[in-house]
Amino acid sequence: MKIDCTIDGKTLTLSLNSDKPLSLILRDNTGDNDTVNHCNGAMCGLCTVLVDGKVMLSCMVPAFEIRGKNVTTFESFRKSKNMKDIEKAYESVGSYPCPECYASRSLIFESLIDEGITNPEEILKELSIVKCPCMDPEDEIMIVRRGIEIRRKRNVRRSQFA
Amino acid sequence: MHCTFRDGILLFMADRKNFSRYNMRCGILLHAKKGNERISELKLPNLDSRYLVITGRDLPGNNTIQFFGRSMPLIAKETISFPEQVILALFAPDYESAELMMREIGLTTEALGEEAEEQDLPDTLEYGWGEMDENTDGKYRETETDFSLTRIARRNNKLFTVTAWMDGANMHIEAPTQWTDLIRDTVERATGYPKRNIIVHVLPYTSKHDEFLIAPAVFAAIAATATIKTGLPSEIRDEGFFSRPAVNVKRRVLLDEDSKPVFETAEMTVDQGAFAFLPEEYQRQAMTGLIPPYPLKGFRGSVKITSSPKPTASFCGSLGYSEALASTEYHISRLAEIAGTTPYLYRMMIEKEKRKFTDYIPGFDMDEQKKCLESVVRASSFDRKWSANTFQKEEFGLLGYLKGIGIASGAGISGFSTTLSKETGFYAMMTFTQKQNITINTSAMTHQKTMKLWKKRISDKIIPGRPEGVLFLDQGPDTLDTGPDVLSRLVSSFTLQLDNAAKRLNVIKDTEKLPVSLKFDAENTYYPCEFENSGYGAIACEVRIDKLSMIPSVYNIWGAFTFPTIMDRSSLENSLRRTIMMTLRENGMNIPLSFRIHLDISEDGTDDTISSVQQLARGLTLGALSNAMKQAAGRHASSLPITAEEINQAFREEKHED
Repeated sequence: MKIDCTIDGKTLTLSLNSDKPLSLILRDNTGDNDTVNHCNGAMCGLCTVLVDGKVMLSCMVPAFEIRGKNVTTFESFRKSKNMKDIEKAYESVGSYPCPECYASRSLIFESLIDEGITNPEEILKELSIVKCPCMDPEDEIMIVRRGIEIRRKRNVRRSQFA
Repeated sequence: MHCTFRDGILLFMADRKNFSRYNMRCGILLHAKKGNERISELKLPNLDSRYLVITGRDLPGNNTIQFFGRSMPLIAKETISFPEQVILALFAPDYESAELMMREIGLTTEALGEEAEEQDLPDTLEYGWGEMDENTDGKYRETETDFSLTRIARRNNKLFTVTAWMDGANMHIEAPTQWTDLIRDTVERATGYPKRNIIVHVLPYTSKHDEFLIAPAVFAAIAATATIKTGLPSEIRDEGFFSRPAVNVKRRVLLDEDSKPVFETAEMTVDQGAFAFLPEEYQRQAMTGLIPPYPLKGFRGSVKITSSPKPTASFCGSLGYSEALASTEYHISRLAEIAGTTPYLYRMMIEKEKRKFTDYIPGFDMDEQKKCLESVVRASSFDRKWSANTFQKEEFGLLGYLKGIGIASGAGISGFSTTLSKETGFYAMMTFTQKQNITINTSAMTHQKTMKLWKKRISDKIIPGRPEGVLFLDQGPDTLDTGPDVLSRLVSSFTLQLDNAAKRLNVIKDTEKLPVSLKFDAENTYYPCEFENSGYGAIACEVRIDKLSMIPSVYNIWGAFTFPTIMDRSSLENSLRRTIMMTLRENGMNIPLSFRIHLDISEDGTDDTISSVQQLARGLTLGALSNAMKQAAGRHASSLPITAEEINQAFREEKHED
């Protein structure tokens, strides 16, 4: 089947099997081998992407689900200003994810910061999809809260200039 | 390939792959389900020119991968030695077609029974000191302990790709690899392509174990063969796989009237699977962990390697030291139980200020190690919890108290043994150029962050404040083989070699005509013992078993570590955390959301060798966990990994025996 979607800002028309997982589409069709894993639904948590701004495990998303949607991988997200906010939050808390889960965790942080979630339980529940243990739960909560502050300040500054 | 001259040095800048995926062959592998079988029939469907099947007979050269003098077939030809062995590779225009076509392939196997292939295994390694007393007069109290680790063999759910393509006379391989030279060597042997024309592009990777050591070389040889046969770039995609060997350590000890050990024998048996890689080194590393830290009048240790039709054991970042260290720590806690005191107090009673000098580990001061232990004991309230758990266990006779706390402490060792370093002769070259820059020719290209730290350390010694003047040459035909990036070798012993070379180069650059080069190798780190101790640590682990589900969960880990030099504190902390968590998960532990790791890391400011963080942290976690599980689950739960079912069974047996 043919699927129209936007991956990392590029509008694409892909011809593929309707049940092909998004993680394999990204690896085969966009060559994103470094930041997206494919564990075949084993819940490794290392294949997260943003689909219309929401975090999803790409190995659990079939091709037909991304029709007309906007998919953002870490490959393009790393260059965005939102990622700069997250990097500042890492620096300010003094803790950052390991190279293995850096991409996935950063995307989850982005979704939490974007939605403004500050409840520790919700934060930890959301982050528990990444099985990598490199970060302290306390640090994770602090990063989200700090990230929200940094984002808010940036938005205020932008609206003042506007 | 671009060749550029920089400061009079030829730099090879190999182009990365730049071709359309539509002109590529995508390969998947057929793995064996069982070991010790014979392939009785392999039925292939009619394949058109878009498909290609590669079996063991289709390789133009040798069907073997050689690793430190030992070899293993790349593809199973007639007999399947172990589960997960590659039987064939199927290449197609895309992965979907390859998977559909793979379903058409028929494979029939039959069990080999007892006719398993004889493996060439080393003799049992033995070491000891003192005259042993047979306790014929009953002067000593005799006790035995048994420590077991069950084999772990599973896929790690991490997909990786290995790509091969030709560009003129050169064969390019792109793969995540821990040893580029092994890939070049294996591809040369399998395809007959000259090693000089094989260029390896290392993909970034993170490896928890040593899964990117052997598999990428095997896949590269198969992909290169497909490329030669089709003339098209070929890619293989597969999941990583790792296997921990089955380990058993039996100890027999004679205790005096104060419950202090006097004579001891330790027998370690390791089942390395169908093929043994580096078994002699495994024995040396394991023996180092097996030697107890307390004084003994007589000791006899032995390490025996066996084989079985199981997946070949990867090093798991340890090569036996961690497992042996864990067994020693487990043993000390059992002796403490016999003595009726807490493991911490017992250790303080039996351990002297200095450790005995042996052929495997020097006689170092136990001061730093004891400080780490004290710090962990204080932070975790170890003595109080240990005593409470022991008393409560007696109260809750039927089901047990189901809570346990364990402790372990030890010293780290670095890299390979002196014997292996002498045999292998890996080296690198550092050059001071006419433009006052430093170039380093090495195959050890690790992560960007490590290389940035190396650049800073080297520039500080020769060209202060100019780390950009330190250049690591790109991989090319003239790249020198610096050995594999296993056992954290490249961040431990190789860092010291770089430091020493920088110091020497700083002296000779002023006396000789530029450019001046210096070759350096493991010789710089030869020790009187097989290993040099460096870095100390202690870990306490708190375990609770759920009363209903019997699932064991770890709630807290307290760790204290001292290292000679800390290059990057946050990376070190991350590495410790990752190793601790990986070891817990690997051994069947549930990790609740409230789980915490409390780490205390300090630097002792000495200029000693940097130890392998993984080896130490893994051994201590394993030791502390075994002790905690023993306290929580009783005497039958001595083997790890452990499941809820096995714990249940252990309790039933215990009740039955009572």
